[in-house]
Amino acid sequence: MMPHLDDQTLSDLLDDALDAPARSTAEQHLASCDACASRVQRLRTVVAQAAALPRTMPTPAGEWQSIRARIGSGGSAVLHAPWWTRRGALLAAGLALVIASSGLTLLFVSGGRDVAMQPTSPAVTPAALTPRLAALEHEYATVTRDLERELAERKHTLSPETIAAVERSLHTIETAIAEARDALARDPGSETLARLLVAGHDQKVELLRHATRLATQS
Amino acid sequence: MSLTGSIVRGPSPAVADESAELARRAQHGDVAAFERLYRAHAGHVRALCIRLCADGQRAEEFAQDAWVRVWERLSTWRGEAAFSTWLHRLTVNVVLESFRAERRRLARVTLAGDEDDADAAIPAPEPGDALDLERAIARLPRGARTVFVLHDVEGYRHSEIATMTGLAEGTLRAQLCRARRLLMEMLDR
Repeated sequence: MMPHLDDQTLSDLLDDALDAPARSTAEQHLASCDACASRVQRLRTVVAQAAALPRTMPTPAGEWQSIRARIGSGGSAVLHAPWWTRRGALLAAGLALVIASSGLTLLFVSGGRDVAMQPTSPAVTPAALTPRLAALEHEYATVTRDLERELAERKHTLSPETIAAVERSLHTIETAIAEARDALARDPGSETLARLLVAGHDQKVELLRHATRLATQS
Repeated sequence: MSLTGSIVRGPSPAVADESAELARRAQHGDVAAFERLYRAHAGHVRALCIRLCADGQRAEEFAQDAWVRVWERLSTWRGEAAFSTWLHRLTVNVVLESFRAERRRLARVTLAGDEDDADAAIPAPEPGDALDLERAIARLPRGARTVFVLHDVEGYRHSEIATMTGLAEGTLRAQLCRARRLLMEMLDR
């Protein structure tokens, strides 16, 4: 007797996500196993109930008024944008990022990193730190990929000077990120280096977000 | 053929046409048209936000953020996709961006500490606690809930959810399976 089908197989079967041989095997099993047939039917019921849920829910009182207040009097949203999203401010922010990132780079070069940034958490082993960082870097990669794609689509709305400033800042930040990553490869247990790497990613996300917002409003 | 279907359910053609016309007027700064768009679609945006985040207060914030972003980015809607499709995708992005930022903050805090995530805050159902589906969805761990809502409630395809969430398809299929299994268990109690 073939063992019962696992839930992943049953779930994939519902979604037509099994290849033909696996599907055939599963269907043959279901035809002769009441327990699995019952389980897949219960899963199917859950899925059907989910698809039948109401499409809408009542909105809170006053929601439109709050939105209306936030979008302003109907003019361009640029008029109501925070100061840091405006063109001149971006140049200043870009410059600040260059300086800040250069500062990070200098920390590596000078070997002063342990003085500059004290870890606030207990030390960990490289084995514990590495997978968390890898997961975190994956998150950043997802965010920056989306922002970069969005910025690329709208880049033409920005002035050449703004684009150049953004690109210079990005280059500096990416250099700092690469250096932090290299240093971590040599010293994988360093929480200080891990925090520097994360700080670099934060700066990149913030810069891309501001540049994208500017491009959207131009 | 998929047994569950995977087509995002949208409004009727007449509603879609009216929304497209309103969106074009709103693109030119017509706030009255934007308000009519809001009235037509706010209920779905609300449902999407509350099911994704399982928190009424946060859902209210997400919905407002989504509508403000819609206003800011209306110029980028070119009518290639239905307005409602664009709106719902943008709403999902607003919520998921916040989740990602939260995970990054959490990861920074716990970089050297015990593994922890937002899922850990979800209380386990009490024995014998029968739940309706909405309440059961709200009790799912966040990752499983997100994939379940997008796939089984909203009708997005695996590939679309992979793009939105950044998850590998294998991972999201595992999350979907986990969500269905947990819901089945909660509803069977």
